[in-house]
Amino acid sequence: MSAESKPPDRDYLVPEAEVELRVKALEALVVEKGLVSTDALDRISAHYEDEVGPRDGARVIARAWVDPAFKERLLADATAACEELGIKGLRGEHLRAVEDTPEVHNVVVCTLCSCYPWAVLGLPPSWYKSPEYRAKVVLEPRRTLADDFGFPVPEEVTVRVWDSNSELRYFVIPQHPEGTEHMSEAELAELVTREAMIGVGPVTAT
Amino acid sequence: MNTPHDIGGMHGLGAVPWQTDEPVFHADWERTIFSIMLALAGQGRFNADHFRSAREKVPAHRYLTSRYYELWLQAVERLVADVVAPDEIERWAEQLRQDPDVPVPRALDADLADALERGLREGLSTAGPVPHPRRYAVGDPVRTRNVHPPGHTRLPRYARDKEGVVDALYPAFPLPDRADDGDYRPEYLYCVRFAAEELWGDSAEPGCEVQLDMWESYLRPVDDPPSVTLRQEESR
Repeated sequence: MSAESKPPDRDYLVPEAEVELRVKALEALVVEKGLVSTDALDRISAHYEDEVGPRDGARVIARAWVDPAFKERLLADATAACEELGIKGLRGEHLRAVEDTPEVHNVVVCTLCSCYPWAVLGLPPSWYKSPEYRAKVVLEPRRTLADDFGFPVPEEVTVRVWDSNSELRYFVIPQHPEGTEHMSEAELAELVTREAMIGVGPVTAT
Repeated sequence: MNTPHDIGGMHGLGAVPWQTDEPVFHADWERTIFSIMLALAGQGRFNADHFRSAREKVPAHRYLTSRYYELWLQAVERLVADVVAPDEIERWAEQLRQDPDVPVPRALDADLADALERGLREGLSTAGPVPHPRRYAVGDPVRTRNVHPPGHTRLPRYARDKEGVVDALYPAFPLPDRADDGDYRPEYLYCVRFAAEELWGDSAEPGCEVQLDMWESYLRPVDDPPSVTLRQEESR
């Protein structure tokens, strides 16, 4: 199942054009007053648009699948293990990787705001930050995964929800899919989706 | 604060707006407010708890009718109000309304850009030492406190006055409830596991658990005497 690429349809109080205008006004003032510079703003957005993203996390997962010693280090100290692969940074200072097994499926949320392991997965997608996801997945994780993501978890498998309410940042190590023994680490990384590392989607050997 | 940001378990919101393929930013204004926030925070003008707290102070009736980055705008406006007055923003906005092409100030500062980018690459831990031992160990049963503070907290409503088990020990971090007021003394943090039935009672789905991170102040031993309020209720 895949989701259509369309923005959520909601009734917002303020027209977007008015929000846009106010952001532009704020930008003018913080630049005028010397609080920030234009090039600094550009560099910050470029970092998250061009440099970090879920491909980084996928590299970590693929390495964990092919290298049991790395997986052990990842489970023991995800921050240090990710740094071995050159992955570190803001909102990645204290990482924890949680492992899916035949007995336990993990799913990550931040019910209070939108905490997410930026350094490993990039900025969170809109749905992760949405009131809908934050409200539902702690109360009805099975129904949310099945109905909203088309990803039912078998009833004999425990569902463990990680509510990221501190400075710890969580991501999921999905199970190594069967039938991929012939694949290289780089090929395996291609299979790992952002959804799988949040715990709302499968990894399938295609 | 018991405001709509603390939304875990709320009904009536509809389906998750899942998209598999979306841009990092959907519009220029999202990119701009994101970068302004990080540029100001990166210079120490405010910290993560100030920023979270400022989003929580968005009036309750507006929270759910604001776009995600619109909440960021409202929070940043609040956090810079000492240097950028709301009526200054409105004056600029009015100019832009009259003439969308009015030139906006630009300024370059390569040193600042370098320093801020380095901050993104390096990160900044807020963990610190605590001059006394931990109160709890892995496996300890604990009960969360039943509190409803009017200010910032990271103890969600759905997890108050609930029993769980300490699952992991984490470093000490500033207690968010105090950090919002500028007191950054670290306090031990724990990962606590709760059975879904403990949190949601008969409405829990079978075979589910929730893991939450709890500062020591959010916990008490399960065999502690109940709070004064509870004792009064029980004696009635």
